[in-house]
Amino acid sequence: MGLIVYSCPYVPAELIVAYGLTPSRILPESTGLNGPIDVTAGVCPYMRGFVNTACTMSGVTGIILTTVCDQMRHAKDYIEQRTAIPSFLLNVPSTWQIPSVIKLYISELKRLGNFLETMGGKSPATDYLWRVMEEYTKKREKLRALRADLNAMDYSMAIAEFNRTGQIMHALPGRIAEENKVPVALIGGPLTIQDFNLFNLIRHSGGNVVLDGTESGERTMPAPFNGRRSEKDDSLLELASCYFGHIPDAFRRPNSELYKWLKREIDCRGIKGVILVRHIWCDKWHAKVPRLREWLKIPFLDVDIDGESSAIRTAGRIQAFMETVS
Amino acid sequence: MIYAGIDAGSRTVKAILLDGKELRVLASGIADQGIKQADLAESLLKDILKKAGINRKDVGKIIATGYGRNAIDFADTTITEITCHACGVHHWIPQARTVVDIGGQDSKVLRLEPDGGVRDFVMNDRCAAGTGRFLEVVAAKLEVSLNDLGGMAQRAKKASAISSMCVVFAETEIIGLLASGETPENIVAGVQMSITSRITSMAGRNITDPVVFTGGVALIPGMDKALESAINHKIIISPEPQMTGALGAAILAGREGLEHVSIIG
Amino acid sequence: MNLAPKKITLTEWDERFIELQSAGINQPKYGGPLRRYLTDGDLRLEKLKFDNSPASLNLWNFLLTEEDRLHASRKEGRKIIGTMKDLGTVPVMAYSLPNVTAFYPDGAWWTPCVMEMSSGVLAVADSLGIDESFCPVRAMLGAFVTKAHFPDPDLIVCSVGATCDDFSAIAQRLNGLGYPILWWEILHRRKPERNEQSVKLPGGFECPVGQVEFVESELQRVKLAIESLAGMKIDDKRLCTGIKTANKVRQYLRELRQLTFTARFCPLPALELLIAEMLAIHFCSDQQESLDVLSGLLEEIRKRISAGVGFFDPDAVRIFWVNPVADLRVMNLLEDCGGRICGTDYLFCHALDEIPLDIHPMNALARMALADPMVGSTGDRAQRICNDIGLFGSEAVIVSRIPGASHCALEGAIIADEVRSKMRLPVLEIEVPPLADSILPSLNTRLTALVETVKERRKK
Repeated sequence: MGLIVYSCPYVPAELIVAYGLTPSRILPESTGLNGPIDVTAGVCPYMRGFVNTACTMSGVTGIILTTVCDQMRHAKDYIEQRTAIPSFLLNVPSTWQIPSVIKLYISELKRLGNFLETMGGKSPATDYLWRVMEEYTKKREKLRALRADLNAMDYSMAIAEFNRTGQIMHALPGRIAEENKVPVALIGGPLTIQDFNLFNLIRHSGGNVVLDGTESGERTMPAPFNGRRSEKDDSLLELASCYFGHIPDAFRRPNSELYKWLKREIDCRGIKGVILVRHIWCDKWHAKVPRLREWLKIPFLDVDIDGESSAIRTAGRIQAFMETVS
Repeated sequence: MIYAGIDAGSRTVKAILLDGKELRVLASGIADQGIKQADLAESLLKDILKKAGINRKDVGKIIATGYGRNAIDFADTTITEITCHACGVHHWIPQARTVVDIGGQDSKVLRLEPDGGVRDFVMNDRCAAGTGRFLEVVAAKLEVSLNDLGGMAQRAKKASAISSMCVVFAETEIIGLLASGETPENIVAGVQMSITSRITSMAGRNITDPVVFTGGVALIPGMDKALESAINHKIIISPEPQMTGALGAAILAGREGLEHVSIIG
Repeated sequence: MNLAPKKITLTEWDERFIELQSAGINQPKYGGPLRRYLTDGDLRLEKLKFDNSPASLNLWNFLLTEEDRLHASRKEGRKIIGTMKDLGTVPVMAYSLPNVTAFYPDGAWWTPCVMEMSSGVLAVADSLGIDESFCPVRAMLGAFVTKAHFPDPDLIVCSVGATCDDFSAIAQRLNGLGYPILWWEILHRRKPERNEQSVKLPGGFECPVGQVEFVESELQRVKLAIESLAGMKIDDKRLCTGIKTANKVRQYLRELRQLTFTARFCPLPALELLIAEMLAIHFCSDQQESLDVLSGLLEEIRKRISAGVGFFDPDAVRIFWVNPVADLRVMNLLEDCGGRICGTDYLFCHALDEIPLDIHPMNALARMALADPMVGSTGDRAQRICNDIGLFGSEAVIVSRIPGASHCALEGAIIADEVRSKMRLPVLEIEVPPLADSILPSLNTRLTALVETVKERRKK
């Protein structure tokens, strides 16, 4: 089955599966220059890492990019100019308050379907997409339940693995007691594989991530789908409601939903501090730093990562932050 | 007729005397840069004239190039170091198509036409991360000489990850790396990799063989191999890499002199 | 009185202004000597070189009195709309109504340069957490907060979607400070797919009809908000009249560019042309006066061309310039290094194209918005640049990066690759900060080297 890779949480894996193809929301492993994007100055290392990883990994049939970020949008130009790999740009609206943008997102999903057909996919029968959605809802229920059984990093890795493969990891590590650790939230943009080390750094400094609000974590899980209740139900509308209508993010305008979500989670999980991790040159998360400082009632730490710095600097910051929170 | 080229670089001043007819270098010299650039260059020119036994009035034309070219008030004209490096490298290696020049405070990548003219260039002179200055900082911090760096890099087991965003911060990182038990050898290899990755990023896809490496950093052992590995192209070190700018200036002085003669004639 | 074209300093303008006054040359109501702006804090003027024509004096006076006009509008009770990240669409609507003044808050990005940082707007942006890793347009945030440069608008409209992240993030920060913003969505322009009806856009682009309909519906939302603010309808007749006036501005600018880029002796320096081009998107808060200023410039240029006079040697290297610079001094520098501007893409070249008049006006505006170079692919933008290079005979291209601007980091390499492969021209990428004084020697080397490279190529 053709492998379709992407990184954006607004791309529904269910649609790709229903077309008979294999979705993979990958985690880039490196932020090197080996690939079509060979510029560094001013370039988000995550975007570069994603594109270069996607273009150099084997077996990729097509790449899906989205408009949620300016640099990802321009990455399409690089893939088109410098590789022969087919790519698709999904227009995810930044505004969300008016019905026309939901319609726009649905029309984009239809267009994505056309792309998947050109990649060897087959337009699904009427209720097949509903069945796939139902399966995914069940899997995500299991995935959400793992939060109680796993340590923070393992839970986040399980989410990332599910996004990558559509499967829940078989061999799950046991939970280590976290009684004396301070509950913190890790929020921000997407993580590379190397960035998962942040969970360890936080743990070693006395913290415990009880909320993974990064783009790679639970924040970007879609809402559970409602099952099909009548012939008139529209599967694409349901996908749109649960993805576009549910996932809060920094690129939304206005971005009030992100703050509502964060407040709710902080209150219900007893979070004592918030750590924002962002890739340098990511303007959307960077601009959140001063707003979060003003808005949050609990300690806040901003961690910028450039994809190549040693962990020493980051470790120092996290240790100092945890000393403050404790 | 004899022509002179002076390359007033950010770290050193270089001067060359050239026999315009045979395109033969008659004398050359190098001196550390200072505040009074014109005086330094004048004194250097006097030295090499003396060394070659040539009278100043026999010098047909002088062209100044480099960062401080406009300060060399006794030069007849100025030409940028981009044009001069291209000309100098083409003189030594006519088949060269790409020139990587890493100097003390700047670095550049030139693409050449088959006749040695510049097709295109990119240049970094705002950040010391991709320049020889980075190596100087590291050598000082590790208390070794620049010449030791090549051997140290070869002995490295694994290149340390060094941020290439800023030399000042990189210096702090080096302190942190040493504190965490990283070997100086691994750090040097990391710094070399950091510099060459800057060059790769700057050059983008515009690298055509043969690639010639010039500038003062080409003299530092091991940098050619690091560059070769980063850009994935074979590297030829230019003969006298520090002098290519001055040589180009002298050759161009000769060309301009000849044009002048033919117009008068 | 010497009327030969010449680039002159501010001090020379002092003398020239007295000469013009003695000669009885009419000044508009905002006219006067340029030195008064220096006294008010526009320190950069002392380091610039200006065209010496009365028409250019009017242009500068018009530009530098915009703040006064906005404050006067407020006093007169006119409604003021800040149209952000909008390169020439919403102002056309706004100026269709008699009691509305639209302005372009993003234009504050020149303030740090013109005032040589003395305005403190960047320091305010820094204090709000929007530091220099963002595009210099962050100056706008400081301008809103200090209220020293324009009055608070009655309505702020901002396009979002296929725009740049910097601006979107900065505007959101402004929103977070309590400024309500009407966000409207602009789509990423794409080519029609099979079974999609195609629509031709200005500038030679095309997109599916669905995209035009969506953007039109978004502009309808903006229109309703403007109507509600102004207390009167923007009916089709008014809008068509507004479009015709905007088209007249665009027509003048197209002619100005064509004449300037193709004349043997350059009739207008790069600096004045840059400022004139900007009128296409914001009219400097007075659409009618923009027309008068531009027609005066055109008249001067025509005179110079017919007299065979202008600036620089005819062998000055013909440069195509991509992206505007925050530091105006760099435009002077290019000419000092032996270049002249022969083609520009300051990111709003669609605003120089004629707005179609043979279709419904709102549909026409939607098409204009979708023709914006920023909302399409970089490949599209590069193609338009290549077309213009062919049209104007440019010999080299300078891609000027805006420090911190997220799109510039990626667009430059694609544009450079396309220009190199299609046009076989040398391309130079530079980065120009709001105040480039410390890097002027370095910029000088690069620009001079590019000029040398072109001159060598000419010999072959």
